[in-house]
Amino acid sequence: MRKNCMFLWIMAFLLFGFINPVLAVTTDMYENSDTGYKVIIEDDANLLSYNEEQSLADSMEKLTEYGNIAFKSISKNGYGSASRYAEKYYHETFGKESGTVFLIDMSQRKIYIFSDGQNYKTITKSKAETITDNVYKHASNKEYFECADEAYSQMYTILEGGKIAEPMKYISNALIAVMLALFANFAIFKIATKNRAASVNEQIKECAFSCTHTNPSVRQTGEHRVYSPVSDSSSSGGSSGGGGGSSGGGGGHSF
Amino acid sequence: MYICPACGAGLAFNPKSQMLECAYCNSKFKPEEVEDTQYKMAKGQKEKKIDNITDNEVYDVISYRCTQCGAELMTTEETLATFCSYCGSSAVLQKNSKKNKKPDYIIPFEKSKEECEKAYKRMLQRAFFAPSDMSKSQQVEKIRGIYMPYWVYSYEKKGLQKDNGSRRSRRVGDYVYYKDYEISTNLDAVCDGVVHDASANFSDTLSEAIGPFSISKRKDFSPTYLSGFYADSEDVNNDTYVAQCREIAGKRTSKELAKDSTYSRYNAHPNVFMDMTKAEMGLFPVYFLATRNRKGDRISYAVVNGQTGKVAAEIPIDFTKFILSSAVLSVAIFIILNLLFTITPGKVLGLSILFSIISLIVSYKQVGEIYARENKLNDKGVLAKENAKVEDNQAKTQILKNIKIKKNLANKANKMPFGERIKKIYKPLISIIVAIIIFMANPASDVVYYIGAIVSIITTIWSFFGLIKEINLLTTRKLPHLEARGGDENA
Ligand SMILES: [Zn+2]
Ligand SMILES: [Zn+2]
Repeated sequence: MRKNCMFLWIMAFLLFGFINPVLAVTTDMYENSDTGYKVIIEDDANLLSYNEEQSLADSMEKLTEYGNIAFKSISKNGYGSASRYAEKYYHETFGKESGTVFLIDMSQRKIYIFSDGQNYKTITKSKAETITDNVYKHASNKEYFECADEAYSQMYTILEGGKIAEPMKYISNALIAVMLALFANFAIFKIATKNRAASVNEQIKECAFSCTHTNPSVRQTGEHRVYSPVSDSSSSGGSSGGGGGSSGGGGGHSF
Repeated sequence: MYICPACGAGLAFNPKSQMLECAYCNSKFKPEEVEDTQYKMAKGQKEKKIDNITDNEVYDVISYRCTQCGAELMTTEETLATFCSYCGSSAVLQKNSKKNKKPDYIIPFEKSKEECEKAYKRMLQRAFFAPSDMSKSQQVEKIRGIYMPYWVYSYEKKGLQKDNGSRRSRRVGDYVYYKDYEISTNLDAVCDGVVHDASANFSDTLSEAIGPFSISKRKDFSPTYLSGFYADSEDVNNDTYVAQCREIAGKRTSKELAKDSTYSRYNAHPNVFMDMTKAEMGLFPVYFLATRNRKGDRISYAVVNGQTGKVAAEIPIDFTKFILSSAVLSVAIFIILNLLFTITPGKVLGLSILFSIISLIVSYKQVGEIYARENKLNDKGVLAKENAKVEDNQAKTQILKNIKIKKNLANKANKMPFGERIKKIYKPLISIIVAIIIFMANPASDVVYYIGAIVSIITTIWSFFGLIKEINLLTTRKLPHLEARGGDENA
């Protein structure tokens, strides 16, 4: 019974995989002979002309220095969200390799950039958001080629900058180390040399103290009221979002 | 000078045996006994001298006054006092014989000088970045046993004590009604022995840090306890600390009274106001050491409780030591960072903000402390003395001048002005502002982001150096000067 159940699940999963548009035919436009990274353009939504595709492929070539680079446009999204689609598409096309995909999801009217591997270290989620933020207006104006071309050009700038940023990382680490060391030493010194004043309790212990009193008498003197509205003060527990498991990430923008 | 009845050599009080000991014949005497015999001898010799004060109220001392700072220390014997314990100078000390008012009692030294030197050295070792000059033996040896004058207050409350309480009774709509009660009792409370140092030379922060003294071990005063030690004279009036000490006594009594379940039942917090019954003068044992900084323009004090051995010291940071040690540590941290963490510009910026905020808070606090210190706001003893000086002046000079002095005093009584504080803590502020600008601009290029974050971190590091400078101001004080002292130069 249990095994059957499992089998059904696997079948369902496979079926879902087959009708999945992600498994469309891929066309390699270019492969970098030094790095082995590829350029892939899949214009399922027919947004680009043949010439535009060639021209886009040319400008995408230089990005293969850092990772795979893909253009994908879709008119139907079986995953519901552009980010989820981009992630699935990328992993099924390139696996865990370094690279970036630029997705135009016409069904959601959304553009999305997803990166993984080494590329994700430079084209981070916030970087992807910045880029899509910069180019979504082209998509709104139906200038899909300009939109994609501009996005790749900005990605390239960031990736090139990432190369320059490498020494920056060492400088940053060194400065952080200096800062932490200074602070640690400072804190240690402060604690080791603190002259703590004797507390009132310590002082009092040394006093000769005696105290007796008669049974207290209690007399009511009046009454006062305090404003305190009746309310259902049930506090709600915080909900924490779980997740994780997948590497890589990206950002997008509606258009 | 107290002379050994057996051989005629000088006697000195030994804290370990609590006896007066003769270094030549090893005889030991109880301090009170020596005083009696000595007293008779002295009377026989000096009968011709005319004293208008009875011998019961005063005792003979030799006073040494520092020509540099005006501080005065007293002993009972001729010693070769070669330096001043308060300013550290080895200037000529003016010697003078005089009669000093007897204190009401004394707590004899229990810790030996050697024990206290060791305790102090241990503290210096712990401090790690302390200037090495400080722990040199020839410097530490200058630690001196001084009987410090303390005010010992007694408080009592006898009679009716009324406190207010209330209890929730009912709710009407959006209001909760409480019944108010008055709880009264006949109280008979005595709190004897709340103490405070009475010397303006002895900073309140240090004296509070080496407290408390165990007053139950106090002895009737005898000048013989002073042999081998020094004594400071009180120069702060007993009314200076009455209120502060009353609060302590009141808190203690209130706490005791609150144990009665009646008070908790009516949510009452007893607040007992005690009456002072007496303020007595006691001499308490303190080892005292002044160390000048390398430049010689500022001074740090170290004090050890001569009864319990508790140490309090102002220890500045040796910049070279601090930098060297931090350099070694940062290399280690650098390696760990490169191995374990992937740094991103955002993280750099975040760390910079975090630490500049810490730096800002610490600096804000320290700057305020320095201000209070330099203006003597935290030392009631010194303030009281200055107040007395002003009042004295007021009697002598015309009104216009008075207003000026009063204004000055009013300024001093307040906390550090906010504007002045901001001026002193601009470094971490710059760092935070730089970081926020970058955060807001969020440049697409990593390089620009990194450069901004690095600028922010460098400013944070720069502000840390400021913190160290502040510590060195906090742990040293201006050299005491004659003119800075109260008007007792003519005394
Ligand atoms: Zn002898
Ligand atoms: Zn002096």
